[in-house]
Amino acid sequence: MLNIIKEYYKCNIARFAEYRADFFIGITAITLSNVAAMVLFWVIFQAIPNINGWNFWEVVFMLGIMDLSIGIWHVFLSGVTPWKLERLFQNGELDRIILYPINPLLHLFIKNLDDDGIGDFLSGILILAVSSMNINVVWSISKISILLIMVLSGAAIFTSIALIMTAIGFWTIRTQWMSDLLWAMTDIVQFPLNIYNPAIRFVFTFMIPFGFLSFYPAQMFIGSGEYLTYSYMTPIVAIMLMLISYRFWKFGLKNYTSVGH
Amino acid sequence: MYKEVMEQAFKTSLAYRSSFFSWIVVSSLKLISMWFVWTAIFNASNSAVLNGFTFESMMTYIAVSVIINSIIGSMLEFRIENDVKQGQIAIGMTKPFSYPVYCFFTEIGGKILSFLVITIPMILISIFFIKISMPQNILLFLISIILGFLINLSMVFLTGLWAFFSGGSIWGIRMSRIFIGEITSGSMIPLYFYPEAIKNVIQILPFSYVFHVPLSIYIGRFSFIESLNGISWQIIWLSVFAFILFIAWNRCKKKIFVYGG
Repeated sequence: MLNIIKEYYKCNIARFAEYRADFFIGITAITLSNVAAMVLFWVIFQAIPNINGWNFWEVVFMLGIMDLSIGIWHVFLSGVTPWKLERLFQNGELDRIILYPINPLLHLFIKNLDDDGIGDFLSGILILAVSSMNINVVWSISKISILLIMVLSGAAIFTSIALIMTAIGFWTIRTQWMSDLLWAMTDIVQFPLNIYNPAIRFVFTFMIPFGFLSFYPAQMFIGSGEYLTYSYMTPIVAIMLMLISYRFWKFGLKNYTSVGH
Repeated sequence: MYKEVMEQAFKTSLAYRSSFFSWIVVSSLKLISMWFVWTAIFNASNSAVLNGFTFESMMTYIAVSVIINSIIGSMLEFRIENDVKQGQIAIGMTKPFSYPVYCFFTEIGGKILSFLVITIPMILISIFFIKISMPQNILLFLISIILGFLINLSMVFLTGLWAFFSGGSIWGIRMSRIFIGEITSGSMIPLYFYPEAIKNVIQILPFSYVFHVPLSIYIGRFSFIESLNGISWQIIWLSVFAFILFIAWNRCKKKIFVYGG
């Protein structure tokens, strides 16, 4: 199994080397998208000192954690998304994937590495480095390990939600609109969750727990400790979501094969 | 003849009904989240007026920006990219009108439909839920918005033509354009929030003539003279883009003939 993954990763890297211009433009575009968010925050904070108790660098710190999580998803786990499923249906690739003696989900993941995610990853590290200098977060070994756990959990949470939305596509066939929804939701959690009303907070904590991408994990490093209980829950939420989303994906796939494909 | 092209585009667009619905959902989500974000920002400020905006005028600004977005939103560059890759563009040359003209009228045809099913519902949502105020000068606003639409369409078309020169994907270029636009157009945050020096630099770029100028006319930030000045600059930008388009398209045509397409 490890051998297959290794071979696929080699092919992926060869593919990136082939389209070198795309590689640089893609990374630039993704980095720009993250810098754009930071610039917009900066402009807002020209007018006010803080937003519901969070200053500019704290908000940017939350953004950095989310960028790292999304970076991991983007590079390694973005092979299964609503916008890619539609294409898998159309060109019949999914039917082929099912026939291989390897788990279809794993197959799609390792087959489709995306180098653009390196842009997310780099800008995430940059944003975290700059912001932590400005809010006196000192990176010790233990803090880096906590960050690692939080970022991996965030990546798992994002992947799981994306997977569930993709699997809905087994019934709706058209999936483009769910991708718009997915990105709109990540835009919402770029802001500290406590500026929203309880209903929205509830949705992004318990239903579509994107709060665990930025706001809650960041509380391990900043803030008064008010939301620390939630921060500790982050890895548990990740594990639970992975189990649920995988079951749902399998259920969707079974539905797809049983209609006679 | 152009009427047929538009009609055809209108009917093709009808096939993407689910994307209309998603546009409205995503735009409404954006309005809701912006409502909370700006509530928090105005709460954080000591005065009820921020850079000349009250909370109400800010929400009007955001809602009209979302409406403008629904008017200018375009997938044309992907269609051009597709036409280039599939060689459809050479077939397009046998048609009795030039390819750019053809693209223009298909775009208008699709826009008529999206105006009915996206823009009008968004206007109604904005009037009933956000309670937006009416434009200060509706005639100048309409002129300005049409010019903004055309400026944006030229940029979209140029992005599509990039497929000719790169041979690869236009995704990165498109994303870069969109994110630079996000920061410099005034679509997310009014340019009045930027420091004066940065604002002056930003206005050298074409993006502010798509959002900033029509929006400033709408909310009455521009005097009559300033509005005319803004519109003149829009006309200048449109002429510049028309010229660039003309040159770029002629080079593309040459390229097609050289390869014997």
